[in-house]
Amino acid sequence: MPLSSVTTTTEAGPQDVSLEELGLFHIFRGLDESRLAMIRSIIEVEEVKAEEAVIRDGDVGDTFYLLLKGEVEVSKALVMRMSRQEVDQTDKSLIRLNAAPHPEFGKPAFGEMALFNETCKRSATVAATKASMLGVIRHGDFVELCEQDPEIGYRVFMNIAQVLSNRLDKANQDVLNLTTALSFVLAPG
Amino acid sequence: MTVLQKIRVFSGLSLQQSEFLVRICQSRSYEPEKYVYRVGGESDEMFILIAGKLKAVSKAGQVLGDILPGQSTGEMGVFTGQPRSASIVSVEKSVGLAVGKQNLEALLKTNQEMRATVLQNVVDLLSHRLVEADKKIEELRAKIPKKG
Repeated sequence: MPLSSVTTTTEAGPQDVSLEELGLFHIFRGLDESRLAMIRSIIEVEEVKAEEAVIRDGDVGDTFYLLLKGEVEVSKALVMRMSRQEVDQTDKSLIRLNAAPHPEFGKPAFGEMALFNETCKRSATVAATKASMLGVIRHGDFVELCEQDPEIGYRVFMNIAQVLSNRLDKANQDVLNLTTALSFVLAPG
Repeated sequence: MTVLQKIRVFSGLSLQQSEFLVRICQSRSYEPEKYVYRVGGESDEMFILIAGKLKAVSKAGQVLGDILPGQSTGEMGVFTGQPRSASIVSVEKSVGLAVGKQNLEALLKTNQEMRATVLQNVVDLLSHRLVEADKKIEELRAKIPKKG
């Protein structure tokens, strides 16, 4: 029997993640079962409690997360951070992600920029709103997998590029809408 | 260093790889006030500006920004398959290189290493632009007068 570890361990393991479930994540679209199985082999399953932060805005991280079960909230500091306390007061909830698959975007994932750059800074805080189960993929493991099978890297990068470009279109639209709105608000008279 | 290696989506390519790329480029020139791309149009190529000046214009006619020599435009749609998100119009007489989507895909398919480099650049560029757009949104929101 293995000795109990001090670090948080979980009963669930990668074997509990079905290939079918992995295929529901947008970033794995277009990958066949054998490649999904390769991805499953590098996933660690992590359980988080309600209110627990998974990643924090500004921290450096090398992990990417698949939301297998539960719900998380993505929030972003609205002002320049002066201290951790201030962030807590000014964090603004951006969106809640639920593990149920979205008809268009599939199951939610976050922290994907870590797949490219292990020293990238997190651009938002993600915290569980209820007890949740996450699939964790580390940058180094993913890079190794891509070297074994470049097709995996290609598909995943293309899928991420698509998600990013959708988000960018939306953000650019917001910039335009806000600029237009402000031009009325700030117009003299 | 060739002009292609200075383009963000092609940065990190070797001299030999950028030579492969040059072979699939077509040179183009535009008189002032001509459309290079139209918003909503098919993203079948990207354009690298060598000399002159272009501007990006939204569907509603707002100028979104300038494209200067050494910069590229239209590359995102080529990689993501989305239609043109803005129109590109020449401000002054402009010269550059067009890279067709099909030719680029064919080239990258035969060269895994090149494909990985280019895709990583695409994602870097997209995420950089997204961060910039988010910052801009925050700046603009901060300017909205609070209701008393």
